[in-house]
Amino acid sequence: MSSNTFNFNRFGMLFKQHFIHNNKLLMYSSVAYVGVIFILLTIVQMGQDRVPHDVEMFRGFLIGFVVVFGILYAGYSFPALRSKESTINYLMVPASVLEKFLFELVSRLGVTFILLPILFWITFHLQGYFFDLFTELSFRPIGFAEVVDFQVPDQIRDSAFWFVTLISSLIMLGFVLPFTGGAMFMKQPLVKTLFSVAIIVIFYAGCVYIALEPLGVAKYNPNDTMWLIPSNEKGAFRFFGSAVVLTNLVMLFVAFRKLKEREV
Amino acid sequence: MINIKNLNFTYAKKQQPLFNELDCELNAGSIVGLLGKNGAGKTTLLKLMIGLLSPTEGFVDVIGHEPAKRQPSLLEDIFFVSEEFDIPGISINNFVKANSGFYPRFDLELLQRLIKDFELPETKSLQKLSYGQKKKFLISFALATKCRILVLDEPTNGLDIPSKSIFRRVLAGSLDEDQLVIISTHQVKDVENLIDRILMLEKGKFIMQKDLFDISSQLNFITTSSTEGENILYSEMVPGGYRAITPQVNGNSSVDIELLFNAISADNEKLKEYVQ
Repeated sequence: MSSNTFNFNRFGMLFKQHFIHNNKLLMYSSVAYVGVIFILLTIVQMGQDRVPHDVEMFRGFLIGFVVVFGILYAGYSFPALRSKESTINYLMVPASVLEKFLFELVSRLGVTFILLPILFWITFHLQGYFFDLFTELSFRPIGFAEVVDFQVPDQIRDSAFWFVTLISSLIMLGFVLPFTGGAMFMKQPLVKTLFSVAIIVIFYAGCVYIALEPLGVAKYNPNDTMWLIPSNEKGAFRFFGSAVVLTNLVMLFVAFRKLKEREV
Repeated sequence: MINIKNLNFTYAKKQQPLFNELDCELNAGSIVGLLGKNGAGKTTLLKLMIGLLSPTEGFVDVIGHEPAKRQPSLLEDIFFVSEEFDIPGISINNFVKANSGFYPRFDLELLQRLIKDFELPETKSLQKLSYGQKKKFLISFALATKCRILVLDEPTNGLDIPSKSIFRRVLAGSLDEDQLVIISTHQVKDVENLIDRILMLEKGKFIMQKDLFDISSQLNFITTSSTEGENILYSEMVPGGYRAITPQVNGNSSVDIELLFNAISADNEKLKEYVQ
């Protein structure tokens, strides 16, 4: 236990502590998640003359479930900070701020991007095979290769790297924002708070629109190498991809600082 | 072990400071009673000592660490039992499995003995225990960690009468020479015969910092039928006479902390030269 910054033994103990303290909650949540998926898949299949779900349905449902449950789970990050008493326990656990932060990040993102898709895959197949009992059409299992077999459109083939960076960073931002919110606030946001945020976002989007269209900034034709004023698709992917990556990093840094400076 | 110098603390910039130029030094091998009226800042001072709050000015040094940095090497040597606490709904065994690894000197045998002493029942969920039982478990766990600094905020709140006496017995019997216990309480009777140093907080200052031995060698605590004719520094009417404080003339007497606390809180001028 020499290092005050990071120690694998302590990091492992945080996992052990978390899973012992929350084993029932994790078990019940997993059962609820599987149950909701099973019921929804069943309802949809019944509504489609009991035709088994295919890979397109798999992708759609997977994204929907992982996004909804993942954002909910990420928004519940740092659960100990929801009350004064549990905050005291949490801050007094002999582990460094970095260990606590990384534990929360790894466990939240790990559950969202690994456990939720695996549970979905298992439930999808269970439901598919179960429904074979009630239909003459047979269910076809979905392999990993089929799920990730995307066709990149020709127009963006040249800028595939930045396109993938932009999309994956936007997905990450969807989870990083509620994660950071969990580190910053004691309570879930109120409707009026969400409304205020929406007004601010609309205001800035309006300003950008006015600058680009009525004021004519969009008509400028700058040099291709300018990062801040992209003039083609590649430039746009590069600019927005970089901006969203930076936003993710800033948000994670804010969450870390909030945890480090937490007082009770 | 704990060294506080010129400590100022205020919760908000526009508020009056809660502490003004506090100084104090606490050493290993003692049980310190932090006394004060409600709102005097006892819990805040404890939080400053263990790093849950940062000083506005001045410094707090705990075993060579700045507690506000919350370094693991310090946290594994501090256990805090707060007045209000949160405890997970798991069994005692699982609680020990989940948390004991963080404390290098954890003593499982001591924990089992303390659980037996406190007559805590076997349970599948600590949530199902009463408030007092939960507190007794946390006190037992705190003692079993063998942390060099144990901070107990109102530890006897919620304990029944036999448990208070068991608490005093187990605390006195479970400590090592290198440990320091700080007990914050306004129920001074509960920690009588247990603490060996008193810190008394009022209006942002320590109005007393003294070892009990020094107090008992300077002051005599007596019961008398009358307050006349004696060199009485302070007295309170009790059934059958008066409890009074007089200057010590021969040897020591056991200290009536509650009487002393009332006397000092009443701003008794005669006592000031004895206790400051």
